[in-house]
Amino acid sequence: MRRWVVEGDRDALAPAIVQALASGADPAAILGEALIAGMDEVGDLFARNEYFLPEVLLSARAVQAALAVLRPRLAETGVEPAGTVVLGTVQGDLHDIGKNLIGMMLEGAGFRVVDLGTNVTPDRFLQSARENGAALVALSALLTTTMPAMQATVAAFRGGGPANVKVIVGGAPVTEAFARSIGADGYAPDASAAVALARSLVA
Amino acid sequence: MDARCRGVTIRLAGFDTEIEAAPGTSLLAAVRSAGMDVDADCAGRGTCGLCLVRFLDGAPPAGRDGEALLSADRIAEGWRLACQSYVSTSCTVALARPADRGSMEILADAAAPPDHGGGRRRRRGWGAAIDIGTTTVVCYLMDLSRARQVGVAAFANPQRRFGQDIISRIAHAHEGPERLARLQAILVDALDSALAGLCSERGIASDQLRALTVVGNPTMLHLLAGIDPWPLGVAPFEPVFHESFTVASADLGFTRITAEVEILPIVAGHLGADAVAGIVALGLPRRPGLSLFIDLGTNGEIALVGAGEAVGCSCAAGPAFEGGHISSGMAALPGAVRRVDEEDGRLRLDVIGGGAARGLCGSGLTDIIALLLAGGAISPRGQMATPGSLPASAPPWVRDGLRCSDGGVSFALSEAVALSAHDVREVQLAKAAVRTGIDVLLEERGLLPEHVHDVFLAGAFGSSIRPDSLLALGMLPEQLRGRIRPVGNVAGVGAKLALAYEERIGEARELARAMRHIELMSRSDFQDRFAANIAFPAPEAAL
Repeated sequence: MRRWVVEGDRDALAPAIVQALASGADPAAILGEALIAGMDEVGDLFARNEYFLPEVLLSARAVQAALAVLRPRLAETGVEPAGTVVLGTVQGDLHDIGKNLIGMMLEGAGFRVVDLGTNVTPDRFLQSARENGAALVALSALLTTTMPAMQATVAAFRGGGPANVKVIVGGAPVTEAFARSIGADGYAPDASAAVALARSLVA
Repeated sequence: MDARCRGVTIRLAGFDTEIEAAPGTSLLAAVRSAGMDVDADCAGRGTCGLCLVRFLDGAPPAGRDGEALLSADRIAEGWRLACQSYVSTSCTVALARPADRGSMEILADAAAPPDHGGGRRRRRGWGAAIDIGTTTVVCYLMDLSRARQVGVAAFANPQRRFGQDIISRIAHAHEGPERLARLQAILVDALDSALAGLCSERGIASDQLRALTVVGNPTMLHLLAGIDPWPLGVAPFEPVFHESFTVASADLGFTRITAEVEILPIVAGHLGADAVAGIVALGLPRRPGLSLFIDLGTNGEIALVGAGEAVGCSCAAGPAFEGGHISSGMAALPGAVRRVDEEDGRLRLDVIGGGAARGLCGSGLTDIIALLLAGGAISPRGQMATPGSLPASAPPWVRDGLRCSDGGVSFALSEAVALSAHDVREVQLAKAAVRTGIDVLLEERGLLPEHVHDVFLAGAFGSSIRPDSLLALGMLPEQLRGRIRPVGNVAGVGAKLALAYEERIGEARELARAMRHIELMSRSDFQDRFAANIAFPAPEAAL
């Protein structure tokens, strides 16, 4: 099944999971050994420049379809998600693809992801983080001009957000130095780094 | 003395200048506050590496972003990025002089003979058409009675040092009214002296210059007019003005010349008067068939015009086709490989100026990728083969050029010029953005590629671009083969026509009002279409 994840074969993966569950496989093992391990491998291939956006999207979609099958069984057996991540592109910015990719990679890594879409106000981030008991809020910005909105969102969390929520940032114009200067808890230069960062902050 | 006031002293080696600055000031800000120019295309974010300086003493710790661009040896020698260096003690600094930046050659003449249709003269006397690009500015001095060009001047946009791309400049202008005023002033000042120079060369008294007609992308036009372009930087990217308008040159800050300045209309936030002027220059609204117009820069502008309707969009193609974000990339300057051919089993490079190859410009870049796709060294998914994984059928020149190193796979075109696996990815993103724009416009009008009679390629590609290479990359639909024409800088031609003829300015105004703008990013299917367009067509399909 891990191979179907890496190859992004949604049509093969979901039925294989249904079959494995029917023959008594442990849902947590499928999650860990097939989906999470498969997406980790996809992340490696991406980092090595062997995989590119289309391949990663295919794999991520296969995992999403697989999770739809797996999630109810995980809940029955009491397997908790790694944590909840509230994700969105900041106010004034409509760029979607990088943010979607990170959302799918995080789901593949076992997180529960609440994707607020694009052009998201600081208040909506705050409200959603509260409602969903988020451990992590991930902000994306692709335009230099929307980096101030990223700063405003981080400030909103610092000024009255739920306690213990970590805020991480990323996107083409964002740098480590900028992330530090606005008081974010972390910065990731790409999707696979974002997964590693999320794991380190939520663990 | 109050401790806050005790500054540090920065000595500039070779300039006999000392700057006093508050501790913690970035070196870039300190040097600029002293009125000196330092290039910083990334607007001080620590990513472009242009503001390189060397501390001879008193070097601050290297910032993390700078470390990514500088080797440990260079850091030990005192090299730093000025924008990431926060001075805390007095120091001595040598400013590096970035190679080749001052000597930019700009193709100032439009390659395409315009199908302008003539018309009634708007004015007598002298005028100038001005095309303000994000990177370059071109001024054409015109004899309006005869509608003839009598002089031309081109220069690098002086705003470049406050950010290379549009968005960086919008961000800079928004940092305060004095920043906006400065961006306007340095541009107006450069135009003012270029125009006064053109006039004096031709023996024309500068008070005889009657009218200026200006085209450019919306951001450049906002900045010229002194209007904060911030709304163009955030969704929904609405311009402050759409319609053309006229203002006295003195009101914009011109002092050496006096004329009325007419700014041509814009369609949407990133679909500007440059595209409108180009379409008018080519006479597309008057052609019977359907035309596809593509003006390619970092921001691509695409329009489908004809059969009684016009739709347009802008797409974020990125700087790859202008040589940006490409490991051996460069602008179309002397030393750039502008064409690549396979001849008798060897690669032949056509280098601008004829000397040794120094880098790849957009047309050479698309040629080599097309050749490597056909040669099996790049897969349709965009992966570059390693020497070991190359198909047996690959020609020897492909095998000889492939290199494998710690940095990954690359293909060497010459000793100095190579194409990296990552460069191919950059081109994939750029061509997918353009292709998605084309596909969406066709769909909006319910048309198929075969309905398009002519394709006009304007802008960054210049006249060296090979349509076959763009087809091999899948940037244009295969059905358009044989209908594609590179036309060069037609925006400037359109500005000249609008300056000279009643009918052409009328056409520009009409077109800008009538063109329906499609916002690609707000479409729910954009991601899937874009992802589907990232792959290259299989080579046999392109034959």
